[in-house]
Order: sequence, then structure tokens, then C-alpha cells
Amino acid sequence: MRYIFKMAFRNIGRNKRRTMLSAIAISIAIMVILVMRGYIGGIIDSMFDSLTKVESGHIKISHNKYYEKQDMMPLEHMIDGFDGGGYQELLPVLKSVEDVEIVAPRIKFGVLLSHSGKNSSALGIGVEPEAEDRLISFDNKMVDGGYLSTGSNSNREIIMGKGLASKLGLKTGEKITILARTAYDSLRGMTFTVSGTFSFGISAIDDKLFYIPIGFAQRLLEMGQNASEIIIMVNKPENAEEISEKIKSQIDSKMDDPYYAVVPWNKQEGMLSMFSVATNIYSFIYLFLLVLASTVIINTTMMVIYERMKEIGTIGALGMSSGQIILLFVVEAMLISVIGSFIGMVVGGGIDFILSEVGINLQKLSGGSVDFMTTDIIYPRFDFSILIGSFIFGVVVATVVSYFPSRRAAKIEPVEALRSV
Amino acid sequence: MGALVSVLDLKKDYKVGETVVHALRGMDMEIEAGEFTAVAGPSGSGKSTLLNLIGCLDTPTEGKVLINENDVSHYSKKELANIRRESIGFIFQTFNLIPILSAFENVAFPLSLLHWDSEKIQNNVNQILKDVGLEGMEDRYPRELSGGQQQRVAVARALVKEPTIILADEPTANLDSNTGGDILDLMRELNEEKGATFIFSTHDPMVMDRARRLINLKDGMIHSDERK
Ligand SMILES: Nc1ncnc2c1ncn2[C@@H]1O[C@H](COP(=O)(O)OP(=O)(O)OP(=O)(O)O)[C@@H](O)[C@H]1O
Ligand SMILES: [Mg+2]
Repeated sequence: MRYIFKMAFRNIGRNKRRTMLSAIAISIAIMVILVMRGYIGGIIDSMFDSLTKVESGHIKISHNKYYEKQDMMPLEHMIDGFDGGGYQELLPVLKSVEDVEIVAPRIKFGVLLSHSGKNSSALGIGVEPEAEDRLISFDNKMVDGGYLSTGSNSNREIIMGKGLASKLGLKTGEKITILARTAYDSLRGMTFTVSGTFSFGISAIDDKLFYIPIGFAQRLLEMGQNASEIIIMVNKPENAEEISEKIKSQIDSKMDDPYYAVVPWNKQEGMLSMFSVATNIYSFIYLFLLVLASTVIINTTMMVIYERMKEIGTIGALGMSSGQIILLFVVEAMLISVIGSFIGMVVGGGIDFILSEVGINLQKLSGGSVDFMTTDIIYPRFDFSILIGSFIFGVVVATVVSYFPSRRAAKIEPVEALRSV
Repeated sequence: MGALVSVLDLKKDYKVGETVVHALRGMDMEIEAGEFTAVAGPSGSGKSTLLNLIGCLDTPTEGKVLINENDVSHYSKKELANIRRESIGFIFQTFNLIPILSAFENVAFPLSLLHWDSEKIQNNVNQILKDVGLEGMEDRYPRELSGGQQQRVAVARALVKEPTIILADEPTANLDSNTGGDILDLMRELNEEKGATFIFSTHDPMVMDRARRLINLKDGMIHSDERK
């Protein structure tokens, strides 16, 4: 084995330009793959962050029947506690479960907002201001004014996305009357003071969302002490499924006829469940890119075999087995792919690292706001598992691909090869 | 006790398009251990074909080649490679050293294929390189050696594993007559001192003179076979 490596190693030095060319092809593929993986990872991280915080939580609790129709935000089938005492009954139980970090009850409702002749459809969320702030950290999201006041006697305050506010021509300190259809299907109005506007950097949110304290939402919608859902954040998202099972059994044990759905993020419908599909699709794209780059190695291997016909005849005559002859060329290709993958890893890793620090401003790139569940600035994911993973991927794929042309070398008959000189 | 190599009614046909070339038309011979045999004959008489068959590089159309009484005529590709690796040494007309390996490494190559341990390789290779007169040139690469020196390396490479038989197809054809003579002298010396069995083909009367047995081929048959 050692002499095969030695020979392969010296062989790649015979035509340095060609070796470098093949290596560069691999390195470009690895570079592109690495930057793509980092970028897509960044998008997924950003989407995951936004979607879990605004939409799904790591775990979402709601009434079975509400969960089925949650896109329509029906006001029936609410979380009403264990026996009609209101959502608050559930909170101590939920908070006592290990690894649960944040418990945030919400009421979601759709309305048409109007202000001084301007209209906009909007999505209202009634929240416990403290819990929601711990979940979302409004500190760095407020563009103007302040967050909802916290403490026991909350005011009739509203905060809204800056896009929504500007559509309505609303400014901090001004008042807006929300007219909503209640749980009993009557119309009811309530006036709120805008305490501030926020921006998530996601237009889908900033143009649509407003928050009011949950107590006023309950009154506005005639919902008693109920909530439509409870969002739970846990310490590690990958443990969400396990924790959701614990929560479910805790809740169910307190009820004769349980009716709450406790669903971890990866089991909820919508964009989050598409992440794994997307990741798999991209894996195919990476593979395709690498195989494409590996055709350069195939080409090199074929040329090398043709050029070294006499040598292959000689080593065959001396009794080198077919397997070893194949190995000699596969190892040669492997060494080239190691060089290429390494260069690709270093350069691509460097680019990925810089981008992960600086961020990519999609808004600038696309010349407008992106209507997508991501922040306008994407910070690509940078971690060593991506680097090492891409390196190994490059070496393995290129090496495996090189096996096919290398088989030709073993088919050469020594008699023929020796005659051909 | 049979001979080291026995050739029995050996025939080899080549198909070239529609026509069949009868390169060997039925040959019988025996080579004993320690012989120093030249195969001569006009171009196209079948010298290379014969050496290839004895050297297990090819299989006959009909007849048999026995090496140490083993019939190799129906061996598979893999079995032929095994027997070449273990029992046969080759010296080529164009030297055929591996350009990326030094003189030492070229000679060591057949031993690596046999998985010898490195200390044993070291000793044997250095000894044989001394024997062929290349002491001090172990680290030179083929491109840094003259034709004659390259062929000496090739002789060392063929002999180092002490094979049953060493085959050389026109080993001197690419050398000037002085150098060719030197190589022949070297081979003869190794034949006498180590008892190595050589079969080589040649066109060169000077080379035939140095042989101890001369087999003349004509049209794929043995025309004459004399021991001197
Ligand atoms: N692979 C082959 N395919 C077709 N014909 C072949 C092949 N090898 C040899 N021959 C033919 O077989 C005959 C014997 O060839 P061979 O090479 O054995 O002759 P030779 O005695 O070695 O000649 P030379 O002195 O020119 O080397 C020739 O007619 C040659 O053309
Ligand atoms: Mg010939």
C-alpha cells in the first residue's frame, strides 16, 4: 500500500498544471457548495428563528379543533383551562416541565384596520406583554416609541409593524380604534394608543402584525379568560418533540376528556416542515455540482492512462494485479481531490466566515423588500462541521467517481501495451 | 525430474481482420535450469510470440507451456499475473523503467509487489545494484541514467526476486554494440554466478555468439537448436 501512495503522490507531480486544473475544478465546486450551504443554513436559521418566535413556537398548544382550522383563526374552541377556568390554569403546569423556558399565551385574530380613511388588513395578537417580550426581545426591534407597558395594570396600548403603521398613516402617540367581530359574532370597538412601532426586518410581519395586551383582546373579542394558543420555547429545539410528549401527558392527566393538541415545531404544517425537504433537495444539487466538477478528474484520469500505456504494460508484466493498478489511479485522483477540496474549504470557508460576520443584505440585492419569512439581512451559517463535511464530501465523491475511468487501466493487456511502444 | 520450462506442440494464431496469422506453428523445446539461451530468427519468425507465451503474458492457441511442471496454458488473467509476479523476470528492449521511481525504487518495485519487508528489500536491492555495477547510483532517476545504465537497472529489477526464469526480448536492440555487449556479459556473469536462467531473443550475431544455446526460428517453427 505504501508504495502505491508514494507512486500516486509522485504521479500527480508529473504534470503540475493539469493537476492544478483538476484540483481547481474541485475546489471551485467545494467553494460554491460551502458558501451555498452556509447561505442556505443562514436563511433556514433566520426563518426558523422568526417562524418559531412569531408563529409556531418550539411547541404550540391549542384546542384540537382550533388546531385543525388555525389558519382561519376561529374564535371558538379556545384554551379555557382544565375546566373552564381560563388559560391561566395551564401556566403553572407548563412552567413546571423541565427544559421549558418561555410560556407565552396568545390570542390571534384578523381585522381590517382603518385610520383617517386608510385601510389595511392586519393580524392582531393579544399577548402577555412580559412573556412575549422574553420570547421576542422587543428591545432591538422597536423603531419608534416603546414596547407595551408591563406590570399588573396594563394600558390600552398597541404596538404595530412599521409597514402597517405607515400604511395607515399612524404615528406613535396617536390613537386607533379597532373594530372586531367577537366570539359571539357581534361587532365591537376599542380604542388603543400607539405606544410604538417595530420592525422584524421581515416585511410579511412588519406590514401585517400588531400586538395588544391579552386582557384587552379578551374583552374586545368577548373571550372571557381564554386564549387561542400557548407558545412554548424550550432550551434545545431538537428536544421539542420529547418535551411536547411530557407536556401532553401532564395536561391530559389533569383532564377527564383531554382536548388539547401539543405539537412540536417539526410536526406542524407549514414552512418549518419543509426545511428538511429543502435540505435534501439541496444535497442533490451539491452532489450534482461535485460530480460535474469530478468530470475534470475523469478526463484527467483518462488522459493519464492513455499517456502511461507503456508503464501500465510494464507494471502489469511485472505482476501488479488489476486491483492494485486501479487503486494506483484512484489514489492519484484522491490526492488531487484532497488538494482541491482543501483549497475549496479554505477559500470557501473564508468567504463563508466573512459573510457570516458581515451579513448579506437581501433588500439591497433584490432592490426591494423580500416578502419572505426571513430577515432582510441574512447571516450565513458558519461552523466547522460544514467545512469538514464539505471537504470529506469532495474527497469521497471525486474519489468514487475516479474509480470508473481507472478501471480502464486494469483492462489494458500488458502484451498489447508493450507492443504499442 | 522435468525441465524448468517445457514447450509442447505450441501454436499461436493471431487474427488480423479476416486473415489468420500463424505466428507459431507447433514448437517443442525444453529449457533446463541455469541455461543461457538465445532465440534468433528473421523478423516475424515468432521470437516475441514465443517469449510472451513462456513469460505468461499471453496464452497459446494450442499446445502447452509448463513452468516447473505446471501447465500455465489455460491460466486466467489473474493466475498469469500471479505467476509473473512470483516466478518471472522481464528485461525489455526499451528498458521500461518507471520514470517516477529512482534506480533503487525501480529495483525494489517487484519486491514491494511480493510484500517483502523493507529491511530485506533494502539489503537485496543494494546487493543486486552493486552486482550490476551501479553502486552509488541508487538515487538516480531513469532520466539521469544512460541507456546502458538504465538497462542495468532493468537487469537488476528482473533478477532481484531470484525468479525461476528471466526473459529478455531483444535486450540490446536499443544499445550501441559495445554497451549491448556489456549487458550481455553482465547477464552471462549473473547466469554463471547465480545460476539464473535466461532466455533472450536477438538479431545480433555478436549476441548470439555469447549464448550457450542458440535456438533458430523460421516461420513459427524451430529451424535449429544447438548447445555450445
Ligand atoms: N498482436 C498481434 N496481432 C497480430 N499479429 C501479430 C501480433 N503479434 C505478432 N503478430 C504476427 O505474428 C508473427 C510473429 O511475430 P513476432 O512478433 O513474434 O515476431 P518476431 O520474431 O518477434 O519479429 P521481430 O524480430 O520483428 O521482433 C508476425 O507475422 C507478426 O506480424
Ligand atoms: Mg519481436
